[in-house]
Amino acid sequence: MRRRDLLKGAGAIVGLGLTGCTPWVQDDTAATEAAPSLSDQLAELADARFSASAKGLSSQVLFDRLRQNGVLSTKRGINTGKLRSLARNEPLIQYQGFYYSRSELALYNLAYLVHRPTLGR
Amino acid sequence: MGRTTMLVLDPENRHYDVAIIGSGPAGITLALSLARLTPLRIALLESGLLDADPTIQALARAQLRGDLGEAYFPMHTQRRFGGSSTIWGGYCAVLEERAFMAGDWPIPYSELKRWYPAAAGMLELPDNAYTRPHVAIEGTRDIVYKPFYLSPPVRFNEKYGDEIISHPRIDLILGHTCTRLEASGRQVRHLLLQDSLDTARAPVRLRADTVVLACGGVGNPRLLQLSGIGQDLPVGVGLMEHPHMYAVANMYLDWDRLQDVVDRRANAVHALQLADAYCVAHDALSFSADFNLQQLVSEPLLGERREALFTPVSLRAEIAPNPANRVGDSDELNALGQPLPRIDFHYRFRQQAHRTWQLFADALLRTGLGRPSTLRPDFQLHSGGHLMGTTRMGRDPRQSVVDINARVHTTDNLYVAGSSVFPAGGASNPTYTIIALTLRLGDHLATRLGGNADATS
Repeated sequence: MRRRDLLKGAGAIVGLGLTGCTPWVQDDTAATEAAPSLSDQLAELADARFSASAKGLSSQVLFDRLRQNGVLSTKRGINTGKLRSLARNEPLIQYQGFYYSRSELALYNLAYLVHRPTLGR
Repeated sequence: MGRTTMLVLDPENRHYDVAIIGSGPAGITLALSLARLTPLRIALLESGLLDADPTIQALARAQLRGDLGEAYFPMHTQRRFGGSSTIWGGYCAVLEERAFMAGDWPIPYSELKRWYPAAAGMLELPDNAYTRPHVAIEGTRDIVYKPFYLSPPVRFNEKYGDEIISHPRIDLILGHTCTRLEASGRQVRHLLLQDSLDTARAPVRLRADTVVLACGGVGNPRLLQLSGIGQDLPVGVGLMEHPHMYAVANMYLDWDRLQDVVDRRANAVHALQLADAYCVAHDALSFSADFNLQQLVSEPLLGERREALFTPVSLRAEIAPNPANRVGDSDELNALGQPLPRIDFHYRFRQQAHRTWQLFADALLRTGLGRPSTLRPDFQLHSGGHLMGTTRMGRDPRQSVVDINARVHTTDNLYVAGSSVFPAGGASNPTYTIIALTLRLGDHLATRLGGNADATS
């Protein structure tokens, strides 16, 4: 069920015919029901630099965690206010020489896994 | 008509109301201030000449122990009319208020703010240098934008030389090094002057009712030490510098939040600083993170793709005064037969740099203003040529050398001008504050010694 929630948000990319999507997104038949906002937002954030940090991670687990702490909502997309609020108390993570808050990096990992861009911006 | 001379003729019969030792930015500023405010007769004494002379410049040599490289002197000091203003780069910014909020300075910050406008005029800075010295950024109280305005740079010898030389009540005495202040009781009675080039000449004595030292962060304490004045005061103790670290990190900055804040029209270096209150709350010292406006990129910041500056970061930091950093006697003599100053100085800064950068990184990232990189682990420290704190200002003679009016605690007619009186050095280049404090000293002396506003003719 929670997976389905994710797909409602992220699945619109199927309709756009993007390549590099995770298989479970591509397979989901409910994608046409999805609101485009979350997908579009994740597509905006997707960046090849996060391929290493996303390696071995599950998009489902990432989505569940981000939804539980209020960062993601299938209806409202990314809650940047919540992300900012969490960032005030989360430990900072060093990745490729830059600092990220934990939830922020999880979000970028999710965006990468959903959209799998092959080039950085 | 004032006299510009390399010889002091008939010195025993010459008397000045005020003698200022050193003709750098502080000395020239004070001389002009007093000349404009009072009818006092002023001697402005300079070890060097109108132009640099290598023999005289060698008198500024020092024995260095620690982190200041061998090239530090004479690179950062100039024994010539105009002093260090003949070589400075022109960086100007108000001193951070942090040290005042923390009680490191014995005077309120308003004492500086009062004089920054006039100091800006002397340095040819825009009004924004004091009306808009730092700017709040939307969405954060932890970090502020702080531009470092660039003076042309003003060369004090060129800009103010004619006024000094032609002023009827200022005598500019060049080529004579003050080697000793002769004091009895709580008064300086004479200044012993030695010809800087002809060392075989007998020294001459000059009399002045009030004496002001304006010969730099090493020269000021050194003259007190050589004169045996303030032996129970911490003279020379607590030398501070500004560690500079160039291109030591990178950062992305949210351009939407900065573009209305950054003063793009000004001739300035742009920087971010931890806000003063944030520093006090986190027991951190001030530091500046310089950035440039050259590269705009797209970067995700706290969940949004933003147009961002991508910029290398150079840091300029404050260090705490450490009693082990000090000016004292060496075992070498200079051409005048005086012991060279021995300067012990170690930055002891690496741990502080990492902590402060971590605080900055936290504040930058957690507010979504930007994304910092980690600090390069092998960063190098460079010096700024900013010597501060060796005759520190304070109320307690056990902890300071001069009082809140820059008067030496033990001596009623002896004052100090320049960054040697800074009890905390902040992270800003000191010249702007030196000029502001010197104007404040000029106002104090004018009042104390019988100022006359009509004397400005």
